[in-house]
Formats: sequence, structure tokens, C-alpha cells
Amino acid sequence: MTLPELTTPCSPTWCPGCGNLPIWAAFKNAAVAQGWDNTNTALVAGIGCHGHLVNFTKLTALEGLHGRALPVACGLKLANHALNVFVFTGDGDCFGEGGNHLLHTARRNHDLTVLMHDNGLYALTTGQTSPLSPHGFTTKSTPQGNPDEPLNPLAIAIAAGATFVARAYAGDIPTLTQLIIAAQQHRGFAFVDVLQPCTTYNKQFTHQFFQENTYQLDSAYDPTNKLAAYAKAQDFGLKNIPLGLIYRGEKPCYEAQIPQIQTTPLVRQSLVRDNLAQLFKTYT
Amino acid sequence: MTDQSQDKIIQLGKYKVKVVRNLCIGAASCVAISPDTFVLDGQKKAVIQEGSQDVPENILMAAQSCPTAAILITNTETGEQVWPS
Repeated sequence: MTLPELTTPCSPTWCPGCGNLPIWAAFKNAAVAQGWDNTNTALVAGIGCHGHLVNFTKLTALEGLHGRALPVACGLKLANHALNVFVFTGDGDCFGEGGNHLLHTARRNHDLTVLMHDNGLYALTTGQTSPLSPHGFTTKSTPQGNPDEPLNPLAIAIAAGATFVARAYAGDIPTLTQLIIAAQQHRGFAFVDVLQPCTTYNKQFTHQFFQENTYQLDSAYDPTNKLAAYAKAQDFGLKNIPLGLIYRGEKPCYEAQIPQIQTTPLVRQSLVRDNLAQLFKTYT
Repeated sequence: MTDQSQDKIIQLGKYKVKVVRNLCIGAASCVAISPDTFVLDGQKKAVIQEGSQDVPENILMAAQSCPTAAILITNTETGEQVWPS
């Protein structure tokens, strides 16, 4: 597919400068480079501004209920594990409504590529605090400042069992493109925290803020050291926001451990029409 | 005030397009909308690709997506600056 072929006739409805725009661009670049198309790829989105991405991208897509993108994606992957399955979710969708799903999808190491659009608030509903909003952050829902401490998405993903954990800045399209490709090539649960300015509702995490305060991890950093990765995941402050692959572990993905799908994806298997009468007799 | 004297103006179809470099913050919205027309250079500033074949509506939308209104578009058929309007 070419870039124009990947784009639907629907014009993006995101705000000027929205971080969703470059994430969309990076994903399309990666798809063109890797040959992801409707024969081998499916998308799943949650609810939020990020979810519009599937309306503008001409690939087969499902949109789950709020926070439920991951279980939908797990079902899709189990039904046809030959597909590349990408999950687009927001920080509210993933860590608010969907926090429980994130923990268990990471724990099972499902072979999914998750791009979390992290703008630090609920933007589609016009700007309320999310579980990743900073302490003291002023929004419509916290006019006196957010009394809660934010969750740490990278540390939680590592602790829960994700085997590819990374962070990127949305505005750096070439680097994000390569990171999306690397995440997709990883066999297991790949989680990418994409720092995404919300130009309308988040006046703290702007493009300028991320450009001035992020840095790329260099080759001296060892992402296979889990304890070091956990420590690195704690860094988030002025001039101290690491980008790149934070942690990479090796363990079998969930789909590789299900005997029924080792030879043929479930979707290509014949229906077994057993007589259930004996089972009912045994268990009733 | 920003010095726009060094900013290149490129004719693309009926539009003259200019990126005001001092205003560009590298948000890359224009690159996302019209990758045929805009790329970021080494300084994370948008630059215009001469010879872009993108349709005028898409180039205009790319300019409208810029958070700092750093892309100016003039319709050379009418002489009117169509963005920012």
C-alpha cells in the first residue's frame, strides 16, 4: 500500500497541532515500509481522541468500549494469530477504564503492539484528569489542582510482565516510525508510551516541553536489565525524560503456548461438530 | 516580530506556500496531513518539497493543522491570502 491508499476520504478532525497527527503519520509510514495491509494487519482502538485514527486509516479496525481495546485485541489475535494486531489506546482509556486489562494482557504476554497516546488527560471529553495527569494539574475536573499522584505507565508495564516497553515523542516522526516497526517485530506484548501534546487542553506538556526535556537513550543503555529498566522508568522531569526502548525481555508469548493453534490459526480450522450429550451426562 | 525575509516561498499549483521558520515548533501536523508537501529538516522545522503533487485542499488542510499558523498560503489566481484568513 502507498500512503494515499492508507488514507480514507475522512479528513482528520483533530485540533491543530494535536499529537495524534504525527502518531498517525508515523504509523502509516511504518505500514508502508513493512507492507502492513488488509491481508495481514488489523487495528483495534479504544475510546478517546486517539480512537479517531482508525477512521482515517484504511485498514480493518475494531473499536472497543471505553478501556476495552485490549480484550478485543486479545480475542482477535487468538482467532487469527497470523495477523499483526495493533492497539491504539489513550492514557485514560488504558490506565483508567482499562487498567485491569492492561495488567493481565501484559502478564500473559499477548503478541500485540500497543501504542498508548499519552496526552496526560481525557481530551475527547474536553479535558479532565486521567490517571496519568501530574499531581497538582489543573483541569475542569480538578479546578483546585489534581490531588492524586499519577501512575507510572512504563514501570507498571514492566512489572506486569510486558516484554517490550518503550517511550517516544509523537513529534519525532522518523524515530517513532522505527520504534513502531521494532515493537511490531517483537514477539510478545509490546507497549509504547507515546508522549503526545494536547494543544487544546494540556498547556503543560507542549511540543516545546517535550522537545526541551526529552533525550534518546544511547547504546550504552542496556534494555535487557530489568532492574535498570525499572529504575529508568522512574525518570520523568525537566531535562530528564528518556525516550527509546526501556525494557526488552524474552519469554514465550501467550499465543505460542496455546496447543490448539500451533499448526493452524483458529479462523482457518474446521468446526468440530461433536456430540455434547456425553459431556452433559458427565457434568450434570 | 519575526523575520520572514529568509523563508522560501514555493509555488504549488494555484498556491504559493511559505513556512515561517521562526514560528514553526516542529509539531509535524503538516507532515502528517501532506507528507508529499512537507518534511521536517534537521532542525525539526517544516520545509516545503518542491514539485509536490498533493491536491490543493490537502495542502490547505495541512496549513490549517499547524498550531502556530506558521504556514502561509496565497492563491495566486486571486491574489488572496487564504490561510491564515
